[in-house]
Amino acid sequence: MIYQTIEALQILANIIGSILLFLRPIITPIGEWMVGWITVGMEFLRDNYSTDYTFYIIICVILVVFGIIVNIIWPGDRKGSIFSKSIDKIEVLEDKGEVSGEKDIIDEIKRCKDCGNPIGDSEICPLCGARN
Amino acid sequence: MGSVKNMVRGTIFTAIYVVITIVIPLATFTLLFNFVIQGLPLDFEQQDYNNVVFWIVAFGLMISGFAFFTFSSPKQSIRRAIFALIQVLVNCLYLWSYKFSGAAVISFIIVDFGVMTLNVQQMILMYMGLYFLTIVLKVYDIIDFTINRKKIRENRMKE
Repeated sequence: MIYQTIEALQILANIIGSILLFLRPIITPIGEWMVGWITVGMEFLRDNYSTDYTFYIIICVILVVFGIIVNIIWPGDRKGSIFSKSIDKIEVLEDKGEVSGEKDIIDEIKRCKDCGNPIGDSEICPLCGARN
Repeated sequence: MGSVKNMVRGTIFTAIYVVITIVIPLATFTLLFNFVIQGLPLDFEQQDYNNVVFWIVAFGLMISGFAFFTFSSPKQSIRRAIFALIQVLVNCLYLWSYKFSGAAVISFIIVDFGVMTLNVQQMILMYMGLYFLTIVLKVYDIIDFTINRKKIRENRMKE
């Protein structure tokens, strides 16, 4: 045996053994609990799905397909592709609307032909005195 | 690009899990089934072999499916943590299926020689203990990712 010939491995095995013995009162109930639920799960599968692979293949395929779909929608490094595209479109439309609205208002303001100063309804520019 | 990268990672890990949980155990048991010691064949019961093969393939398929979902999910995401936990639970069933199918205590009848018994029950129980720790860690991950969700998302968007 290799571990009997190499002293370091033997010491390591003794240490691990001691730790396991020390933790035994904790590990045993944990092991029993694990065995309990696993036994119930296995019994259920053995009673209902132990004849063929159909159930397991279906689960596997569903997981893969579901995984692909979820990854396309929510890839993780940015906002979900489908939703983010629609949100981006809305934002672009809103920006365009804001810009065109501002332009319309600016275009409607009457300005002086000489200096470009807004003059409102008056015919004489208050800044340069030019007649418009 | 993020989704493609995720899916490539998921596919790679699925392939790894298929090899680890299905191909290698199947090859091992098939090898054992056809094992010959010094010209004397081992009398390995056909029913035991069929049981072992069934559960290996069945749980192997499930584990591989969960592995795809887990590893194709973004790092530190809640969905990754949840599916990783489910994968560990299925892994426990997979390990335990060895015991139920008679693989924990394998008896070989070597024709004209005697009986050889291989007891791997302690090894499986040790694995169960380790898996309990893994379950605890995965539950901790879910709690951690849920609490720090906003922070994780912000960091991920920056990358």
